[in-house]
Amino acid sequence: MTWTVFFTAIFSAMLINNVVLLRFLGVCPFLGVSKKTESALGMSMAVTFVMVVAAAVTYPLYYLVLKPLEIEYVQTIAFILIIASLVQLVEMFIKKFSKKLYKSLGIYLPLITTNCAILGIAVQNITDNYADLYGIGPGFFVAVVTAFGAALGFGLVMFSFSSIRERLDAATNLPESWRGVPVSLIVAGIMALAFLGLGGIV
Amino acid sequence: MLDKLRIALVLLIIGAVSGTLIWGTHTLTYDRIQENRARARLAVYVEMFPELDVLDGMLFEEVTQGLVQQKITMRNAAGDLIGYAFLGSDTNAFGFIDVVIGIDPSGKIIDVIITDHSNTETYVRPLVANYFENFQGQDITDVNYDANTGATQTYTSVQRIIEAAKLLVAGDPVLEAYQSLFTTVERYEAVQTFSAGDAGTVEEVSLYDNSDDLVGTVYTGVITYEDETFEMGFAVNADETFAGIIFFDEAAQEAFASAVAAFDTFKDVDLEAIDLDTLDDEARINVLKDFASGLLRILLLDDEELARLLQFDFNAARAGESSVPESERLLETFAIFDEEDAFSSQVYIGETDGYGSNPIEMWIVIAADGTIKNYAIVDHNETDGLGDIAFDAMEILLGEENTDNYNQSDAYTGATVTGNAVRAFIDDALADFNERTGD
Amino acid sequence: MAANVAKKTAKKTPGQLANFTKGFIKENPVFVFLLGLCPALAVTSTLETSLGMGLLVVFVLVLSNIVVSLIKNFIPKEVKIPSYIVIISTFVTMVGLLTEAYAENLFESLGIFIPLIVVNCLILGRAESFASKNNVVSSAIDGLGMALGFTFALMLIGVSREFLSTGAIAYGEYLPLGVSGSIFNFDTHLFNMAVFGGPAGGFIVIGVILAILQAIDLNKKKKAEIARQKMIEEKKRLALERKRKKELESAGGQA
Repeated sequence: MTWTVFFTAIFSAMLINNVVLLRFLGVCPFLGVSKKTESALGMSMAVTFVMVVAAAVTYPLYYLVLKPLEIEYVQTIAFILIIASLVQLVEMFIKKFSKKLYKSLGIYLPLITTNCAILGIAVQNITDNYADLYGIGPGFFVAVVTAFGAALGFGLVMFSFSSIRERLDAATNLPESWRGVPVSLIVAGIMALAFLGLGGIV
Repeated sequence: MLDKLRIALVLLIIGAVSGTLIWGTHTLTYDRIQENRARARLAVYVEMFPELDVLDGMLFEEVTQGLVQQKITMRNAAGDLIGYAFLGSDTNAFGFIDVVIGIDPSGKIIDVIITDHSNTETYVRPLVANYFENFQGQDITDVNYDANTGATQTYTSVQRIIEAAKLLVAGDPVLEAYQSLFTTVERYEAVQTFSAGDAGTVEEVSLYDNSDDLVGTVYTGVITYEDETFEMGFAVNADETFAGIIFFDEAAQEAFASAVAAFDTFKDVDLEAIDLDTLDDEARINVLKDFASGLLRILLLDDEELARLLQFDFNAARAGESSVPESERLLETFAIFDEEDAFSSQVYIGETDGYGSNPIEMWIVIAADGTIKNYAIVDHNETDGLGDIAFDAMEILLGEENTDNYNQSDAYTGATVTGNAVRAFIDDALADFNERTGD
Repeated sequence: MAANVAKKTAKKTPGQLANFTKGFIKENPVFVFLLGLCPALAVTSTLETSLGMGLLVVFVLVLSNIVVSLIKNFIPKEVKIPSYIVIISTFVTMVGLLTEAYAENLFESLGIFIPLIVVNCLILGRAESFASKNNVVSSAIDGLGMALGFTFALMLIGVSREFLSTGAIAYGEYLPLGVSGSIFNFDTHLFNMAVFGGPAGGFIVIGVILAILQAIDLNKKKKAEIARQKMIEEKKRLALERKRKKELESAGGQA
C-alpha cells in the first residue's frame, strides 16, 4: 500500500463520491443549516470532527468485536449507539474545556446524531471492504482518511451552497413560488451536475 | 439511587427485548440470507444452472487438463446431478481471459461465459453478443466454431479452453492411444515439427508420467493409403528402442491391425538395429515401411549439418557455398546437391515485413525444375488466425513453378498484408533463382 | 388492507380520520417538513424502489410508534432519546434482515439506505413529538398516515424520475412480485433524460414539485386574502347601511 491509496481515498470521498450531492447523505443539514455561511462552516467543522472519530471507533468495533463474535447483524444498532454516545461525549468534553468552541460548535452537535452522513460513512467503510483490500490494520487508516475526505467534501459543498443561498435570498426578481427551498434544490441539482464532471479525476 | 437503578433496569429490559427480537429475526432469515449471498456471489453458475443448490450442491475439483483449472459438479436441492462447469483461463497476445463453460449431464453446452479478461473490450463485447449463442446446445465433444468472428485471438482462446474441457468430458482419445502403448502416460507435449522426407511433416511428441518423467517419444504424421489419409505415430521408448505403431482412430486401428502386428517384431529393438527389409511385402506394411524409413533416416543421423539440410530437401547430401542474394528480404541462399552430387535444389532463407511488429522469418526451397519444393514459416507475430489463412494458402503453392497461383488474392482473403509479404518473399526468391539458372 | 382497517376505525371518530390523512398533503413529511430527504433523493430513481423504501418505513414507523406509546410511561426522561434509538434500530435491523432474505434485489438497490432509516428524522420525530404523548391507537394511525404520506411523496418523485429518465415504468424488477414488465412504455429512447435517473435529477424533481406546491399554496392564500377583503368590505357596507337606516329612521322620527 502506498500513499497514493490515501490520496485516492481523500479525493474520491471528497469530490467524486461527494456525500451530499452524489450520495445523498446529510441532505437535511445541507438544506437546514445552510442559510448563513457562518453556521454552515460551524456545522461542517462539527461534522468533520465527529465523522472522523466515528469512523475511527466503528471500524475497530466491527472487526475486533462484532466479526469475531459473529454478530455482524447488530451492526446498525451498535453503530448508532456508538455515534450517539460519541456526540454526547464530545459535547461534554468541549463544554468543559473550551467555552469558546462550545459556543460555536455546541448547538450543531445534537443535530449530528441524526445526520445520516456520519452513520452512512461508518457503514460504507465496512461495506466497501477495506479490510479485505488492504488488510484489517491498513484498512483502518483508509477508513479514517475516507471519513476525513467525505467530511471535507461535506464542508466544501456546505460552504459554496450557503454562499449561493445568501445571494439568492437577496434576489428579488425570483417568482414568488420558487423562493426559498425550491430554488435551493434546483441550485443543488446544478451543483450535483457540476460534480458529476469530476468523475474522471482519479 | 433508586432512580439510577430504575434507569438501568429499563435500559436492560429494552436491550434484552431488542436483542431477542434481532436474534430471532436473524435466526429466521439466516439460511435464506446465506443462500441469497451465495447466489449473488455465484451468479455466473446460477445463471447457467437455475436449480443449483448454491450452499451444498457444488463439488469443486482442481484439475490440470491443459487450460482448465477447475471442474465443478453441480447438484440441485434434491441431490440430482444437473451438470458440470469448467473454469479455464488462457493467455493470448492481448492478455488473459477467464472462461466458464457449463454443460448439462448429457454433455450439451448450456452456456459459455467470459468472467474476466484483459483483451480489448470493444472486440470482446460484439464477440460475446454475436458468436457465443452458437455454443449453446452443442455437444461439447463436437463443437462447431465460427470461422470469422473479428476477434480471433479472444475467440481462439475460448476455443482452446472449450477443447480442453472437451478432453475432460470425453477423455482424450490421443492420450488414450498413447496409453495403449505406454500405460503410465499422464501428459503429452508437442516438442517440434520437422520434415522427414517420405514420412512427410512429422511432429515430435514427448510423453510424461505423473511424476513428469519422460516415458517415451512419439513421432506423429500422416500416411496415405488407397487415397485415404490416416494419422499415425511411430513410438520410441525413453531408452531409444522401438515401442510400436499407433493409430489414433478406431477404424484405422482395425484396418492396419496386421501391419502394426508385423512391426511388433521390432519391439524393444534398438532403432539402429531395425531392418525394415525383413518385413513382408504387403501394401499396408509398405506404407508404414516408407514412413518408418523416412523417419529413421532423420532420427539415426549423427551429422547435424546433414540433418539440417534434410529438412530443406530430403535428397540432400551436401550444401553448396552460401551467398547473400541482392534482395533485402533474402538473407542467405545455398544450393543442395544429392548423393550423386547433382544439383537438387536452391534454399532461400530470409525475413519479410508483415503485419506484426517483428518480420516473418521464413525459408523456401526451389527445386532444379523451378517448382516450389518446400517452405516453412520459422517465426512470426502476425495476428493468429489471419496469419494462418495466409500461411495455409502457401500449401497450394507446393509443386508450382510460376507465381500466378499466389497472385490470385483469393488465397489471402482477410490477411492482405501478411499474404503480400509472403508473396514478395517468393517473388524475390524466384527472381534470384531464374537469374542463377540463366532463365 | 391496513389502510382500509385504519379508515374504518377512523370513520368512528372524525378526529382519527384527520389524524390519518394529515400526513398526505397538509403535513407531508417530505414536501412540507423536508424530513427524510436523503432517502427521498437517493432511492427514488424508479417507482419500485420508492415504493419498497416507503413500505419499509411504514413497517418501522408504525411499529416504533406503537411500542414507544406503549412504554412511554416507563421510560425515564434522561434516557428517552437513547431508548427510542434502540427501539427504532431494532425494527430497522429486523426489516433489513427480512428484506435481504425475501427481496434481495430491493435490498441490493436500497443498499446503505436501509440501515440509514435509523437516522431518518421522520421516525425519531414522530416518536418524540407524537407517540410519546398520545395513546396507542392514535400513535399507530399517526404512524401509518405519516409513513404512507412519506411513501406517497417518494412514489410521486419516483414516477416522475423514472418516466423522465426511461420513458417507462417498470415493475417486478426489485420487488418480489413474481412477474415483471412495465406498466407502460412509450419507447421514447431518443428523448430520455438519463440525468433524471442520476443524483442531479433528484434535486431538480423535488425542487420543481416543491415549487408547484408552493405556488398552489400561494394561490390559496391569495384567494383567502381576497375573500377576507371582500368580507370586510361587505361588513363595512352592511354597517354603513345600518347606520344610514338608523340615521334615516331617526331623521323620520324627527320628522
